[in-house]
Amino acid sequence: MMKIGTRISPDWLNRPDDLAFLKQIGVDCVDITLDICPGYAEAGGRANREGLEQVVTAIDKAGLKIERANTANSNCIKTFLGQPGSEAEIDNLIVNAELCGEFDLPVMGIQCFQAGQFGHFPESMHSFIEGRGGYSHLKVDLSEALDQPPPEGAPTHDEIWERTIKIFRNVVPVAESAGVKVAMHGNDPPVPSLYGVPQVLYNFAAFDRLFSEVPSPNNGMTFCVGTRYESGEDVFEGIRHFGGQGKIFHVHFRNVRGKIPEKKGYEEVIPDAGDMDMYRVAKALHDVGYDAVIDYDHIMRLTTDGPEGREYIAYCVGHMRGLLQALESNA
Amino acid sequence: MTIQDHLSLDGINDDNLSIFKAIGVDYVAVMHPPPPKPGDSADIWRDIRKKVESHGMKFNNVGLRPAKEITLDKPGRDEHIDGWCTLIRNMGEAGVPTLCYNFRGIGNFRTARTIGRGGASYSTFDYDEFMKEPPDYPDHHISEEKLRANLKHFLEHIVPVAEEADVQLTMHPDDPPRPEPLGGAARILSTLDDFEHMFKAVPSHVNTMLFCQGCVREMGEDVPTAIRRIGAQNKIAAVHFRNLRGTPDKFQEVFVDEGDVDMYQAMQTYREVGFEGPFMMDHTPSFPQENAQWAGRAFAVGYIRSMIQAVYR
Repeated sequence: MMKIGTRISPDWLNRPDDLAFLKQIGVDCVDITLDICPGYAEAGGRANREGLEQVVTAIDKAGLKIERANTANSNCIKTFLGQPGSEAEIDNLIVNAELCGEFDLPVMGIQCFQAGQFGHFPESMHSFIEGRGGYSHLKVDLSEALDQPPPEGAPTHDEIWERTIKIFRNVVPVAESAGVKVAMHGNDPPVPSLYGVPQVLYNFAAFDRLFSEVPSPNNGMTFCVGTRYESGEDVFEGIRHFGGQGKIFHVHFRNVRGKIPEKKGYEEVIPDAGDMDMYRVAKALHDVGYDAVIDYDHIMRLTTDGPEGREYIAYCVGHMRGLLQALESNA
Repeated sequence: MTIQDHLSLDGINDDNLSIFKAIGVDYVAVMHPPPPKPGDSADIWRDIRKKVESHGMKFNNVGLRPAKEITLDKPGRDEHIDGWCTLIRNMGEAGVPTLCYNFRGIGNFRTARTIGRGGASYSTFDYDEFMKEPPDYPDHHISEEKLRANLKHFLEHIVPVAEEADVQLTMHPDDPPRPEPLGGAARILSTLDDFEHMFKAVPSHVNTMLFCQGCVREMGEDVPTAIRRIGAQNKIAAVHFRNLRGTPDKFQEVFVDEGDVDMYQAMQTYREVGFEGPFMMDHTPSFPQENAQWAGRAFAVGYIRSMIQAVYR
């Protein structure tokens, strides 16, 4: 059966109470970004054994396991933009993959180029609005952002593909021999360009291309149910397609209201209040034999919640656990 | 399908109602208001209803325990019963459709709390531990026969009023539900037979059970079988959807997802008997951290919602 995971940020290492809280509500796994490791940022995005060991020990002490270690897209910025320094970035990713293997971390995330890494966009694209009971959630409005001419100096669609593939051709074989799965999340928001800056990993066809350009059982995806739905493609078809090939390594299990093709935007909402029937989503994952982690992903602000977001986290984890136990009992 | 959660009278405020609404609570219950008096007005319930509805929820239930004048037949019983009749009429006037209550010679018993998952703490009952120093409440001594007679007397007065006011009376089981006397007081709502005895004592469609799944399990019952038994009589007016680990002699109130009861199977059985809510989380373990006040409820309510979504399709 699937497990429940949640993302933690570097400050969580100094928050043993919050790690204990995750354990109390039955979270199984955490998702880290490698910048949580002491020394990682200082070395320009390169983890070291002692730093990672410290993190693994702290998480282990809380009774949790690390499922996915993510690298940030900023760690590949020179490569994506075709600037000098790309070799060092790729070398860092190789070292990171080997270390993940040493510590038996099942999944490593490599992120794609996001348009926001090139351009600075108007704030009007994102706003926070109130949902039921006054909880605050993200509304994304892309009505100004799509179908614009590319700004000067932006990488082209083909260049981004070429550079992404270069990263994957270098890192995936190392990850494969280290026993680590590489999971690509894809673009958020999932659109071919934002204010003219191209993005390439915004639909199912793009994931197919990435997997055929760099064929490996260890080259797969973080299937983000939220972005896949926002794109307008059929989430269930995607789960069958990629799940059937064993390409789903990690799942972001969040709900959304609205699709980009219909509304040029969407809202990220509390899990039981979106367009998707999350029981059906969980069942589809179960039916393709997916048994790794589902993560509620983004945290929303309930009016009474403290800075730790415990109430929202608890709600989401309870909701996911109910779905999983329903599936398990129904089997 | 509805989810209900409860607040105390002084907990009815915008902050608390907001979090209830945010986590998807549909119905609000107010617990333990002061003992009702014959001259009470319905205004308080109308005001609460207005407040709850302004947050997009329904004010569905008032919960309280009858005073010992009623349960133990002490002087002043008639006035107390009149107070309850007034309360029920006032609830009818204000449009609050259910009243939950219990009927005990003496209250709940637990032994020392135990530590569970990640350091959370569980309400716990260990009979052997309890019997090392069994408590005695001389002022509450009462026989089974007398306590049953007092319940019947009470029901004979409040049931016709509740029928007229269209208010459901939902009786919660004893907790722990042990049929033998504890603390010197008999216990008469500790088995499903006891409930059937109560239904027959004063037959009425308003004379129903608050099906506390936790207590039913504490009785040692198989939960789905018990749901079918009471559900077939159309007597389940509300459900406490909580879980439990252990036996009637030694149990812990654990998180809803880690107990002995298959909660999906239970939810399916509620659907099968035609029950349509409300479901309540009732209790949840407590957290040692600060800033976790509502987290246990949020967890349980999220769990109940997804179970509902999985079953009532």
